[in-house]
Amino acid sequence: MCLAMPAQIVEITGRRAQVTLLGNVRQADLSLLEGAEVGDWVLVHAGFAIERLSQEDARQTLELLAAIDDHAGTAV
Amino acid sequence: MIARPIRIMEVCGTHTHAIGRSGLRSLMPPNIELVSGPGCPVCVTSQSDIERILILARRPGLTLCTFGDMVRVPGLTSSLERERSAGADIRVVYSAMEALELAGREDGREVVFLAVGFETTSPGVASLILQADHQGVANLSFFISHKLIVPAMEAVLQGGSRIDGFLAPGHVSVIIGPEAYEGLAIRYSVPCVVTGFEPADVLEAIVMLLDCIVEGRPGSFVQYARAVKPGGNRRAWEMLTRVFDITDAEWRGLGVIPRSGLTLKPAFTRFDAAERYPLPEMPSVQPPGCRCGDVLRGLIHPPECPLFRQECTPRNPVGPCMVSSEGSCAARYTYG
Amino acid sequence: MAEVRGDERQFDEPRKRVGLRVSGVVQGVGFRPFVYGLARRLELAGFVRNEPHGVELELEGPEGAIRTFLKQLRTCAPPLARIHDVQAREILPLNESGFVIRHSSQTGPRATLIAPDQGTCDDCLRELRDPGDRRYGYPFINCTNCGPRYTIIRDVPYDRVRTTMSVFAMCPACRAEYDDPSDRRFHAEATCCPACGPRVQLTDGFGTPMECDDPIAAAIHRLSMGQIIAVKGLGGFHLACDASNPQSVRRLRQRKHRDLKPFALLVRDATVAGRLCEISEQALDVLTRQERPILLLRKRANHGIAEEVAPRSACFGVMSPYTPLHELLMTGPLAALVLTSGNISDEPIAYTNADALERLRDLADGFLLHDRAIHIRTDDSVVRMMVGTPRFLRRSRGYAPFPVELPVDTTDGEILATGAELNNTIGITRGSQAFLSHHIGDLQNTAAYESFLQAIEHLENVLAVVPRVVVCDLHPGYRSTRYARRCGLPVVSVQHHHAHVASVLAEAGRTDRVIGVAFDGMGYGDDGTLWGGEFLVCDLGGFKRVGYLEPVPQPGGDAAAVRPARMAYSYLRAAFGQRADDLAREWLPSLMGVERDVAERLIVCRVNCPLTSSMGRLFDAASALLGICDLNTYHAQAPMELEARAWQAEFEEGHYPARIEREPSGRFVIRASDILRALVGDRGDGTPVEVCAARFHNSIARVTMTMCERIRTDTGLRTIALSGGVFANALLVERLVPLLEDRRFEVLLNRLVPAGDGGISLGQAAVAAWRSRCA
Repeated sequence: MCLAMPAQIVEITGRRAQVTLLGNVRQADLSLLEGAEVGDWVLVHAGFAIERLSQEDARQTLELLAAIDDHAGTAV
Repeated sequence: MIARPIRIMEVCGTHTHAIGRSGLRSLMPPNIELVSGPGCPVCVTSQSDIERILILARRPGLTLCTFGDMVRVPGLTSSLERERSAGADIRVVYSAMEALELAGREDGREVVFLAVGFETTSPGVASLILQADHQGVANLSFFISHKLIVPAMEAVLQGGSRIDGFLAPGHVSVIIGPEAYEGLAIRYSVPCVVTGFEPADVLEAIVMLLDCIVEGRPGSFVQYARAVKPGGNRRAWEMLTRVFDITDAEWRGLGVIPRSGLTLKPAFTRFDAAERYPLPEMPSVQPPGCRCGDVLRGLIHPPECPLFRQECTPRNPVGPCMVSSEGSCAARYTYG
Repeated sequence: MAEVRGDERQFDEPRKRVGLRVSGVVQGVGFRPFVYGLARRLELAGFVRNEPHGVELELEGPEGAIRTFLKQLRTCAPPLARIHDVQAREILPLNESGFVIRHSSQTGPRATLIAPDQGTCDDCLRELRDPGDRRYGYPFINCTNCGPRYTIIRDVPYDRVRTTMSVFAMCPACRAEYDDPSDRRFHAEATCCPACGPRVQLTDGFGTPMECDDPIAAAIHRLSMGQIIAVKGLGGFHLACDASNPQSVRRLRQRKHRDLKPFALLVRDATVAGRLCEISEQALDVLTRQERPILLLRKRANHGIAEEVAPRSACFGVMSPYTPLHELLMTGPLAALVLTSGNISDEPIAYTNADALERLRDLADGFLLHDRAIHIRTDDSVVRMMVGTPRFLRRSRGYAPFPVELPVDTTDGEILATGAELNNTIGITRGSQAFLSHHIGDLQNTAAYESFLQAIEHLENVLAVVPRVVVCDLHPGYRSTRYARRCGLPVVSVQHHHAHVASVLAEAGRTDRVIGVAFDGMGYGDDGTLWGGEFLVCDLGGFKRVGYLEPVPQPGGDAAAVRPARMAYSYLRAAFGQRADDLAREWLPSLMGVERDVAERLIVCRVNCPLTSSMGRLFDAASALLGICDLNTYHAQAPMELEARAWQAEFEEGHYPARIEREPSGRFVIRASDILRALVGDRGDGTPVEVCAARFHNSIARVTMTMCERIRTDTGLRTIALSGGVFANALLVERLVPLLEDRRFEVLLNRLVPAGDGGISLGQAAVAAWRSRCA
């Protein structure tokens, strides 16, 4: 439940955005962030973007995630 | 190097997982003990709330939307899973957004979203309520069981558990900021390190924590700097405080902790499921033999509970610590 | 839940929220209603709450308002509050409106301080005197700013249920005030009124109430008729009589078996005090402060008080009324009452109704009693102005158990200090504070020893401290030492005079090395001899004895302490050798025949004749040689009367020189016998007693100063700490301190605890704490 994933904003419509999350495209709500733009990396939790990430930070996290085994996935 | 026994507590289900999954415990020197605290919001939902949620679920014409890990939490005689098999309309969602969408699509039904979670989740729910309010949605309400993590950490310390340091939750801290732990750290001389959710993060954080403990430096520090910023996410917090008031809340295993829960502000009462539907006061009753409370307070490890692996398993959980995959007992059972 | 909400408001300025932790004496002092009122006035949201460690606040609002609050928190706090520390941090705003008082929390570490008992405040006095007020004439009126605290508290946190007021259920009117945050009696745990609170009665010696409409008026009437009335105060019973009636006072002396020790006076107000005594601005402040100690003040001529009250004393011990009961007692025609402790000779004062009736039945003609129980007996505090500051002779009611800061944190190594044998107090440390008990008394007395045990238990309980270490005096015969060595904890022993000096250092927060001057009647030396006129180079960790009065025999040991004439004889032998007997016949006529022979035999054979370097015994000897006092019917009578006579020649500047010699060991010795030799000679020349007495005081001051100079030359130290019971002598202090300061010494004296044995427990605690820190 605590889990939050890095995702990149692909498209913005009002307060909603399309984001790529682990290769999947999902919806995320941007109302908890200010000034997010297409191309930004964000941390997404339960459908809400809660923080912006630098590309480097996002990359680091994704690298760590790549080492995850299947069990973690069910927590989301 | 330190010789005396050191107890480090984590208060985030993801950390429980990470530690379990990676076998980090077995890597620790014998004097360092990793203990799980009340970090799983599903686990700490009071039985009183669970019974009332089940009553809601049984209402005809009502759709209950919930996060997945609430589904198998056992009440006295039932669970959402059981109710679903008995015909209740219970939908697992990934985000509260889906509840809003559902309410929009099925305007003949009453939709209730089960709002459980710590400060990572509650700002999103707050945002959603504002949206619902703005849109004038009439068939959506929320059963609020959100909680705040810092009062629980304080309650653990006040309860006499000897804790030398905390691994503070990473994503909660994205919202509340690392400063939120400073008061606690200084008052009780317990350093806190905001930790990321990967085993590598946890290991790094433990090292930082040990440094602080040895040098006698109580304070709040950040390991998970890639996501956690000083001050946290002010906008998210403001949204939370626009919609919610802070109230006393009952935590399973810890009792009532003052100002540790959220309740809707008067302006949003019509979104409160507990106001909208008649829900009786239900006292909390502990299943006999269940020691989830002591596990949550870090007083015992899961294997020390007499029911662990006997009557209580992930398939047949007695208490919530075994139900949610983030619960201490479930993690221990799975990862050893 | 006692929650009160403020107004709901809209706001759009940027808001901040701060969390505050306030520690110190902040419970039971009207702090929460003060905070509530201040927050509401500044339109801040948030809450205030009592916690075991003090008071917790959160404030939310514009930054400017928060800053104003923080400033006024310090400057406008209620009179009984003592803020030690305010910790503030910024926290996330909650977008709240309204300020609330929240329920006390009982969990967490206990760190709050119990307020000492306080005299009636001006607001309550006004209500007491206002015929329209419902508490008009009610002897138990109190509020959050005044009244009983320490003496009625059984346990913490400070709530009515844990005080002796628990048996009185509040009436609706009192409860309404108790629940109203804007009322001065909000959460005033001891609040009460004539309808629901304690009642006063005038009874005979068997507790049977006497017929009367108004017990207090009846008591006043009886006092004016010359009767002796036992009065139940805050810390125990007093015996009262009309101070201007010689017969009453004489009768009281007979019944108390108290020949000469001065009685304290309760005066109606400061004006009366000014008529009886010389009273400076500073002294006036001490007299009228809420602690209400007994203040020693120089008598004026024509004071109109019976001689028997304080015979042979230069001072009156004067106290203003400290409870409403005493205020009412002084509304009659009597402007001054004797108010002496309710006991016979040296027993602890009676503090329960039953005990008082039994023990004082034959002393008092009537008993003014009430039904509010006293949990902890406390004697009155006694204070005297010296070099411009009030100094304690006894520290008890109104001050205990307020702590003294130590320069060391004792967490996880808390200390129990068992104190000395006479004028005992005990101390318990918590964190970096030493909490000292009320005056317990002479442990040789069984009832006092029980009181000692009770005080240890009570303080441990209310402080929630389990001591890890116990400290005691070196004297193997002290009951406090014997207790310490039996109690099972690791024991630290601290030499008596080191403890005296350490008490000064602890008060001043000094961890450096100083010249310690410790003068008293007797303390066990680390070489097994009796010390009392000591010059030490010391710090909190240890000491070196670098100078002392030349040791002289003390014939009969303790017997000589009671009989100054014996010490005088011993000094005559030291000063005059063979001529001593002739001189004794002339100057010590009371030491006749058998006793003199015995004394001589003891000295010669060195049997039961310990050597003593005591300054107190030197004063005894001088007093006896001048014919002032040769029998101590009460503790320190001879030196006190000597001082009183010396004040009569206070402008005398002469002195008797004394040699200071260096021993092979390197230590300095004062040949005190030189002084007494010169004194006898002076007296023989016909110099008046007062002048000799004054010269004697000057001599001690001078030789002390010279000794300190010698030590400074050797060591380079220029700070002097003065302590020990002899420094209760105001004349000595007023002579010595300017002498030292003129020579560019920095002089430190006790000002938070007595210089006498009442301060030993602080010194012991400080030394033990310092040593464990450095271990």
